Amino acid sequence: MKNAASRFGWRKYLIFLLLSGGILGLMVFFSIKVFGFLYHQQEFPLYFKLFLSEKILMMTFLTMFLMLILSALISTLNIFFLSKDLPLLLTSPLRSRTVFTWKTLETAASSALMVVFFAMPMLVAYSYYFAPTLVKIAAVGFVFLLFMASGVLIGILIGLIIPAFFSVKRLQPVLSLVSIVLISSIVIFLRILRPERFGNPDVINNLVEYMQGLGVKGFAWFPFYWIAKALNLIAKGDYWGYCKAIGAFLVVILLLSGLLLFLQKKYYLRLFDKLNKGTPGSHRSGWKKSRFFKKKFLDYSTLWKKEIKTFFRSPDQWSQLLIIAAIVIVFILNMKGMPLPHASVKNLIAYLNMGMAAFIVAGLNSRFTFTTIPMENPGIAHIMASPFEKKKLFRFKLLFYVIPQMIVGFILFFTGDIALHLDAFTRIGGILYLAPALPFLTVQALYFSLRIQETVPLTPQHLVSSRSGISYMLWSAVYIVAGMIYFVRPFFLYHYNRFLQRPIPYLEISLWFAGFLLINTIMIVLFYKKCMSIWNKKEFTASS
Amino acid sequence: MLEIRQLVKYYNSNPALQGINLQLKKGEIYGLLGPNGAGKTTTLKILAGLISPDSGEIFIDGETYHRDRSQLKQIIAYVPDQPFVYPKLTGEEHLHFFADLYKIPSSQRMEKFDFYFRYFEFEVYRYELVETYSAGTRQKLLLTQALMVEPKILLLDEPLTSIDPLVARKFKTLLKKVSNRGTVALFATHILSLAQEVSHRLGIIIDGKIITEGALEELLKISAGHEEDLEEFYYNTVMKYEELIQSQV
Repeated sequence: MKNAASRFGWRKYLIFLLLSGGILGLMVFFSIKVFGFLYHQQEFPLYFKLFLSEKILMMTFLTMFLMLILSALISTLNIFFLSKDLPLLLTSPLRSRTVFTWKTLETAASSALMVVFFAMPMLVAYSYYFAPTLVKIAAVGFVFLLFMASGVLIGILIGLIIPAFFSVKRLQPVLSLVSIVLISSIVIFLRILRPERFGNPDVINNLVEYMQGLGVKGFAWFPFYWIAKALNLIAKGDYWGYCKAIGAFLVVILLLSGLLLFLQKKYYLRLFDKLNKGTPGSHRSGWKKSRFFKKKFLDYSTLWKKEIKTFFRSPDQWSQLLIIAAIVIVFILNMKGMPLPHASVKNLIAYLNMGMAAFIVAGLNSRFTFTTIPMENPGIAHIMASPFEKKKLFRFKLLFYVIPQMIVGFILFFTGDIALHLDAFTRIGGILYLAPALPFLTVQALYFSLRIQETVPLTPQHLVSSRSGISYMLWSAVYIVAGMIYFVRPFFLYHYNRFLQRPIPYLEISLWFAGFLLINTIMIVLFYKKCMSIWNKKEFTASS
Repeated sequence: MLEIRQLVKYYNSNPALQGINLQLKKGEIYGLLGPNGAGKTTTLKILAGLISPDSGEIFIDGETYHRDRSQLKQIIAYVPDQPFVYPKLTGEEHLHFFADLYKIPSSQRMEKFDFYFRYFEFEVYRYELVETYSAGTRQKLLLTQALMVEPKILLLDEPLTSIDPLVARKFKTLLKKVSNRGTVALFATHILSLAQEVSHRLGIIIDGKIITEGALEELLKISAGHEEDLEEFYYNTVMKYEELIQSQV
């Protein structure tokens, strides 16, 4: 306490309390606003108000359910397998089942805390408007408890099974992968629900069609659907229906608890041993000669092989590709679902789509390109001490990232193109904007990464949140916005003259485009030269 | 074969090397001893091309050497003080990668790999990812990586870190063999028995300066027979130096 106070620890606690109080206050405010708005809609019949509330609740509980599983999964691995008190507890006279039971409770408490924090304001607001009696509040609390129990149990079970397949040394990448899959699922699920439709029900022809459109068949098998349904039934006063939902929860909880006991009895201690011992695996894929690289580029082939093997053997690297996939899916869904009645709006969206593609590529650069050199530290010292030419390594890093980034950028742009059926001018404009912008963003990422002085092996999280990482994101945003502003003029010239049915000044527009290409080419060359200069002077002192 | 003249290096304003001079003949094994932070690792890193000196010159066979002379690096191999390797490559892939960097023909590789995996007794880990290796096994891999390129100059920074005594003995035997074939070996260590056993000459470096150097017998003779072994000699030399510095202060 004394040390913490002397290091101004109390300030941190105060900031934490203020922040959490602020977040809680905001959530209460928004929950009351949302449910209050629905409750006070005079023209809506009660069942429709409840139906909309149920959909909102389902989306929120869907997110919470996945958060709960992830949180319980991480806690399980920590508490059941890696916790430092385990050797002491398991060698004490305590029965292993007692240890297991207490560890289950500890996991449930630690993983449920965050979800309770986020769910409380919503439940309070819902109860206030739709379940205001004591019995109903108790029923809301009870079903929420069962919902939490089912999520926690699923998380614990997954957490107990994972060590059967992965060694302790691979746990971190596995967890990264699981979290990414869950986060991507949340994004995709929420897009499938298309929440924007709540804001504008008028676009749907009739109520039945609208209500049908809000349902997703497969969700009926999940606890987040049951709790939303149960809360609806409580508000309606349909206690028989509520009991059926509770029954579903109880059956699932009983099954999961049985499975948990079985795992405890048969496998827990065996898995504990295995996890702490680690399981090596054999990789005999070898080091084949590359068919793609001809003699002149054999040096690059060496780096290519190393980079590909290390990339695809690191789940925390390749799993990020799932995020890209999620982004692309969300992108397509957004584009497809967008009501665009006027050509002018379509052009505006297409124009913004260019910037969006560049922003996504900047984000990917921040995670991959920006981190590639510092993360290779300190192994990179071996290459530097070898006869391999230093500049070739830098060139390779640039090529290895610039090509995929350009592909992703153009896929995102052309996805928008396909969805919006862009005209030829917008298509060419987009290509001329992205063609130099994407390589520049990649060179810029490498430039900022070279400013990092590595002293210890670094993680992507350290790097992205470092001063250089934040600088890259800020400067890339400035660059993208400046480019977009630059492009306003040629786009305006084209569309304005077309609207007035006047001759389009193609020469002036071409000059604007050429200017952009020229400025960017100069910037790319300058940044590349600057990078090379820093790279050549760079000292590799990491292992000292 | 290897000559260092007046090597100076500062980290910010802190002097790491203050005019190091060294001359190593073909086939010589030279041991650098000294307390932590004395400049041993910095000297080796400059020779490996990882960092640049602020001033001073390095010559290899009379040719000026600096970190961008990739061709000259072909004859240098370096083992760093900590066994950092690419965790997601297997032991064999790691060696292939370095064999590629040193342009060792594919036809010659497997024989070398087979030999070192067996000699250093880690054949069972050959196809395992390096991330599963113990510190000692990683060190064996790094020693293999350095020795397989058959360098003319071998730079070793704490080469026996985490290595078991049996393999350590094998390494010492191999080092002597390599030196007999004409390889210069410059190593930094805190293990005095290693220095005593394999070095032709020893240098004690403190505060970025080599304060004494020579063959072990010569050094013991200089100290007029007061010390019986290297440990005592080293201890007395460092203490005398510190007393001298304190008296000057």
